Formats: sequence, structure tokens, C-alpha cells
Amino acid sequence: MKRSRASFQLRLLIDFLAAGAVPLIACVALILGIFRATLTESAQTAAQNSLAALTGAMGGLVADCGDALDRLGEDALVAAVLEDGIARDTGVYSVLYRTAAPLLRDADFSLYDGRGRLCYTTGPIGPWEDLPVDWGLLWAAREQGGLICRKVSDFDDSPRGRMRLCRAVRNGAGTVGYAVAEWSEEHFARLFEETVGTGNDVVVTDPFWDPVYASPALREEDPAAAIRAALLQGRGLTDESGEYTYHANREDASGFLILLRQTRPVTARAMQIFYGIAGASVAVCLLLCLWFSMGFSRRIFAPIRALNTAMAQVEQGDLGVRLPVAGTDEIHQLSGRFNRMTDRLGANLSESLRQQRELGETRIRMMQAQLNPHFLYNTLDTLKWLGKINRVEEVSTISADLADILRRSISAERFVSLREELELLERYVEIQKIRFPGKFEYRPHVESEDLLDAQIPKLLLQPLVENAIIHGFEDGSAGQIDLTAERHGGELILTVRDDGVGMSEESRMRFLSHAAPKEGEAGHLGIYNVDAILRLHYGETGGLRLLPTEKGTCLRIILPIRKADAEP
Amino acid sequence: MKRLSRALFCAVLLCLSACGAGAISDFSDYAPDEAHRLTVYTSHKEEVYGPIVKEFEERTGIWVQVETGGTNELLLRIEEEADAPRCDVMFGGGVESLAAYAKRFEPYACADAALLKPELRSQDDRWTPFSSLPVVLVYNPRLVADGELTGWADLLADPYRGQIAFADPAVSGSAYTALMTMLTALGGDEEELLAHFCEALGGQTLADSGDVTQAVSSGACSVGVTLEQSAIKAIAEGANLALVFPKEGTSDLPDGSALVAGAPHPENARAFLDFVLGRDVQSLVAGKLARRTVRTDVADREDLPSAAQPLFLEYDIARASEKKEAILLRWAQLCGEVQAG
Repeated sequence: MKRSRASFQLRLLIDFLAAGAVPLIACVALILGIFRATLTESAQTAAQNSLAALTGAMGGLVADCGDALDRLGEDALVAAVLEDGIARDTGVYSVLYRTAAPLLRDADFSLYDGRGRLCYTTGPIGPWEDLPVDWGLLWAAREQGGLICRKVSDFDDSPRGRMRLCRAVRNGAGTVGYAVAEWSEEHFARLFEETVGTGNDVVVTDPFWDPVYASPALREEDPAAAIRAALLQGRGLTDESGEYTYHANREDASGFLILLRQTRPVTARAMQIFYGIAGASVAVCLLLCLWFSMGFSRRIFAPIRALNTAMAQVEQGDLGVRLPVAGTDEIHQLSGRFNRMTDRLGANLSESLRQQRELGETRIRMMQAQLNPHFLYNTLDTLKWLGKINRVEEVSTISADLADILRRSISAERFVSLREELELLERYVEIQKIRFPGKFEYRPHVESEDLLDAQIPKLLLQPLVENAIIHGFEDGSAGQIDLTAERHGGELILTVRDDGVGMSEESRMRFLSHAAPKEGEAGHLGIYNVDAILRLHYGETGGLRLLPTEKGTCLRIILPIRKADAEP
Repeated sequence: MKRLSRALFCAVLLCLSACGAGAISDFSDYAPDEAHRLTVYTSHKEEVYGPIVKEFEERTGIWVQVETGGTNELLLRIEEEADAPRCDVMFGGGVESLAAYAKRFEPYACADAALLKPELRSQDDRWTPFSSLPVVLVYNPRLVADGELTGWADLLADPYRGQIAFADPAVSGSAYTALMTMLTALGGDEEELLAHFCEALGGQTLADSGDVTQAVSSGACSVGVTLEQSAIKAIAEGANLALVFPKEGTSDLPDGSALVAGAPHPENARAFLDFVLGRDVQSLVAGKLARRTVRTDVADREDLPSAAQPLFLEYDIARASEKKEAILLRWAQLCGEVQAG
């Protein structure tokens, strides 16, 4: 019982969970996922746009500087002056400034001679730094040709520059000098000022992820170095804090890379909070499910258990048990039905007890009536012979009839054929005629011969005829007693009719109410017994019927026609 | 039940997919291919390898992964990785140390081998020299008069007892080289010399060869033994220091580089060795790095003591590494005795 209850509750709980928690979890996960994906996607788009703008800005400036350097490199005056190693030539300065004019705020332009000495510059006047010609920028410009972009080496002493663009100035075949554009930190800051976007930080690196410029927030950390290390080791870059995403793009003219660090739209902390809330709501839902399922199962189960206990009580014979009916739901309807069922069961039981008791009483009476019948029988036989010997014919006849009646009545059989019953009746009538000569006439009538074989309860008709003789003609008048046996369908209809005084109103009422005659009251006991026997054998509807008649009494018995071989 | 678990599983999957989005930024497109990679183990300081590696990358487009460490540590790693080498080039470390691990290196004569100073080259090209590092004596001019310290023999004299800055030869390769140089230069009974020197040191050595110039400059010691390049660098940084080439002669054992046998990127490794021995890098070595070049066609810095002046003795690398354990053991005993006594 405990186990079934547990499993019932568990099943309920699981169903509640399935109905409550699963959709909730799925919804929460879906919403979080969509929320994040949408934000991430839009952030990514923004980052890509920002990155494209940064790359465009840088590419544009690289191209502009390249053009300016080209013009300087192709300028005949510049080449001639650098070849001669003359410094501070005003003509060259005017060419330099004129060429660099649109870009003066974006870069510093300088001219170096063939030995790497700085001869002309638009930059601030400071310590004039020479550059090695067999190393780095100038070597590449001379040996590789074209526009060279290089990071200013960390080991260089130049305090300002971050990145240099250079092309060799040639005079004929030989390299006579170098035109250099230098971007300082301020230049980078100016260049990216408008394009970097809020919440973003930018790092510019050379093709080997060596940082050239970093926006202030990124100066301390060095994501480029981490990326370089990751690339060399062939693994991805993991941002442990989860606060940023990184995007990179190559600026093709310089080959330099632009790394954009974007603040993540949803930080790990925010996600933690979201997950916390989602987890808490799922937990609350689970608790509610648990609570409801337990409450629900208890609500359903308590009446069922009461019903179950009540049924067990009924099983053990206690029919007095009743269940409280407090509602109209199915469970309480069931309780109501149970109550009605036990009611009916109780009524049936008491009815059958009553019948048992009645049967017992009838038997006792019959047994008392059979008291030592053999002695009576033998005595009657002796009387018959005494009558014959002494030639008292009536005594002999009465004794023989009485002995016959006695013999039949003490036989153990409960059923006899109609024929035997009629023979017994003949004997009885013969005695009564001797007792009351001329008082009545008995007229039996059987509709057909085969009805004589129909089985009927023993001594069924005798009490009725006796009743007619004793009560019908008690005032001394004479009359007739008609007994008819008819067939009606499968039923045998036996009718006893007399034209005597009829039943008193009191007797009639008592008969109709099936009440047993009072103790010591002899009247109509026979009718009552016949009625009881019929009811016992054929049920409540098979009793003796009192038919209305103008004069006398008419009693009718209707029973199914049954032959000797068919026991009821 | 089954359906329920399936639904739960789906929900969990959804959660996971929501959590996993975009934690890693993928830059693998920017990674160099195998043909453009090189791994270098170096015991040089960053100021030495930094510009060289950077220039190499820019000139060749080859990405160089640098791993730094002490010479012996890196050589041990190369030994450990012998079955599957990760390193292509060992860059730096005394050639004595490199010679001890000659088995792990592959002979390679660099492109300009003919232009290298022949006395600095290895016999079998299992290593190539990078810069020559003469052993010199240094003194604090405030404590020691000019001309007072002239050679190894002076170090052993009484005035400097307990005043000599000398790194532990068991730790510092250059200190061992200096010790062996002294033994060679002075000649005679090694055992006696060792004992003598230990006494002169008072059984005290410095933990690191880099501490020598500091100890002398600060006046903690009045004289010291170190490499020329360390001394010059210290002087350039304003240390209170003067240097002397010992009159009995000294060694100029170079540091070197070597191609690791079975290197994953041998072509790039050879290109790197060619580059570091090339004119441009050797000019940097002789110029900015204030070392002595190993090339005949590159001039040393003019402010260096002239190469003609010092007497360079022949240093027997094979013998030095052969006797190393015995000498260090004896050295430890002697120093222990001096300290106890």
C-alpha cells in the first residue's frame, strides 16, 4: 500500500515536472540563447563595421603617405641635394612641406641621406636621429624597393615614432637617400579617434603581431603578444575574463594588422546573473510542482484510502460503515454509491435472515406436527381393522384415509405430483364429508390429463380446502368447493373457490400484509403457511393470491409447470 | 519517463548552446604555415636576440618562436627532446657548453664560413661562433691605482685577498672559462694554483657572473674577473670600472649557435644561422652590442681595446670540458677548506 502510494505520487510528480518544469527550462534556455545570440550578432556586426572603418582609415593614410613619399622620391631636387649630402636646403624644405602639406597633421615626413643621416624633417626639432642603412627600414627600402612599412623597433632610441613608411630616393641606379613618413602615437590616436567606436579598443601590429600602437586602455596588457603566442603554438585565443571579444583585420597596403577589442555586449557576470535567475525560477517551479503534486495526490488519495478501508471493513462483515460525502466530484460520488451499496447489502442480508428464521419456524412446526407419526399411523391401522371387524364402516374409512394422509404427509419428499396431491385431497374430503355430512360439495376439475404430472409443493392444496371447509361454512350453511387446475402458457394455475362466508376484513388485511398469525390464534394458519411455502420456493411474486369474488373466498396459486425429473 | 528525459536532455543542450557562444576568437587564418616557422632556444638577453630575431622575421617572413633560459637548461631540454626535437636553433651559450652536447647538433657551415675568423671556428662545424668574448680583469679605479693590476699573477697577491669578485664556476660557464684561462696562462701545478686562488678569494664566490661588475663598481670588491663585453656594457652605463687584459694572456672563447639535429625546420634554421653570421648582424654585434665580431670583414668598435694588444692564448675546449667535473669538485673542496679555516 505504501509502495503503490509512493509510485502514484512519483508518477504524479514526474507528470507535473514534465508539464511544468520542462517547458520552463526549455523556454528559459531558448530565450537566453536567442537573447545572447542576437546581442552577440549585432555586436559582431558593429565590430566588423568598426574594423572595416579602421582599416579604411589606416589604408587611406598609408596610401596618401605612399603617394607623398613617391613624389618626394621622384623629385629631382631632392635626389640631387641628398646625393650631395647637403642639409637644411630651403628649396628641399619647400618641396617637403608642399608635398606633405595635406598630411602634416597625420604624419611627420623626413628625408635621410644615403648614409642614414636625418637631413630634413617636418617633425618637431629634437635630437636628430640617424637610422642604420644596413638594418631595418632603410635596408629594406634599398634592397626590396617600393613602399616599406615598419614598426619602430623597441630597441630603437626614438622616443616618438611608432611606425615608419619609407621609400628609397634613387638617382639613376644608386640609392642616394630615403623619404620617410613617421607616425607617432598622437598620429595614430588622431587617425582612429572617430572610427574606433565606444567600448572598443584598438591595437595595430606589424604582420608578426608585434604591437605598433595600442589605445590607452590596452597599453598595459598585450593581447597581440598573446595572439602571437597562440598562433605560434597553434591554439585559439581564450579570453578568460569573458568580458571582451577580439576581431582582427589586415590592412593590405602595409600588411599591418588591426586588432579590435570589443567589450562583450553581455558580460560573463551578467550571464551569471541571468543563469542565477533562470536557475532560481526553475527551482521555484520544481518546488511548486513537488508541492502541488503531493497536495494533489493527497487530496485524491485520502478519499480513495477511506473507500479502501471501508471496503475492507465490509469484506469483514461490517455493513454499518458509511463514508462522509462532502463534495460532488467523482470521488465523492463513488463514496455515495458505496454508501448506497452497503445500504442495499444490509437490507438484503436482514431480509434473507428473516426468511431463514421463518423457514426454521415453519420446519419446527412441521416437525412438531410429525411427532411420532408412526405410532399414529399404526394406531390408525389398528382402528381401521377394528372398524372392519366391528362393521363400523365410517371408522374404518376415516382411519384408512387418515392413515393415508398421515403417510403422505410424513414422507420426506418436498414435491409431489398434482395427481398425488389430488388423491390426498380426496382422502381428506372423504373424512370431512363423514364429519360434516351434506355440508359441502367438493368438485375438482383438471383441464388436461398431463397437468396431473406437474410437480407442486407437498400439502399445498389441502390447507386451502381445509380453510374453505372450516372457515367458509362455519355458520352451518352448505356450499360448494371448486378446485380447478388450468394451464396458462408455461404456468399451472390452481384455483380454490368456495361460496361460503368469505374472509373477515381483519384476516384479509393480515393476509395481504404477509404477517404471521399471532401466537395461539388458529385462524387461517394454513393459508399463511401455504403463502410462506410458495414465497420460499418461488420468490416474493410467487405467493398465494386472493382473488376478488362476490361470495365466499377465491384463492389462486400460479406456479411454473415442472415435471418430476426437474428439481427446482 | 523516456520522453521526459529526452525533453530534459534537449533543454540542457539548449542551455549549453546558449552558454558556449563565442568564447573563443579564431585567428587561425593569421597563423604562419609550417614553411614559415622557426623555433629558437636562446640564452641571450632580449636586448641581444630581440632586434636580431625581429629583423630576421621582417626580412624573411619567417615567424620565430623564441624560448629563453639558461644555457645549460636549454641544452638539457634539447637533450630531452632528442627523439622529437622542437627546437631548430640553439642561439647563444659558450661554445664549450655547445661542444659538450655536440651529438645533438648537426654540422653546418654557414654561407659566409670562409669569412669567419678561423681560430674561432669549430673543427666539425657542429656549432658556429657568434661573438668573441675575451676574459678580462676589472678593477675599481677609486680603490686600485692605474697600472697596479696587470695580470693573473697580481690577482693572487696579498693586497686583493678577499677582494676579488669572481662568479661560482660551478654555476657560471664564463667563470669556469676564466678559471681555466687563468690556469693556462699561469702554467705550473694546477692543484697548487687552484688552492692559491681559492685562498685569494677567501673561499667566497658570487652567485651570478652578472654580479661581478656590480660588486667591483660598488666597491664591495676592488678587482674582478669577467667578460670584456660585460665590462664594456657596465662602463657604458656609467659603472665605476676599468678593464685590463692580463699580461700573461687570456682567452677569447666565443659564444655560438648550433643547428639542432633533426630540427623540424632545418631550411629556416640554416637561413637563421646564415643571417646571424651575416655582415649586417655582425655589424650590429660589433656596433650596438659592443661585442667582438667573429667576421674578418667587420671591424670591431674603435673604443674597444685593440685586438692587437691582448695576447690570446689557445683555449683547449676538449680538455676543459673533460676535466670540468674533476676541477669543480676539487674547487668546491678547496673553497670549503678555506671557508672552514
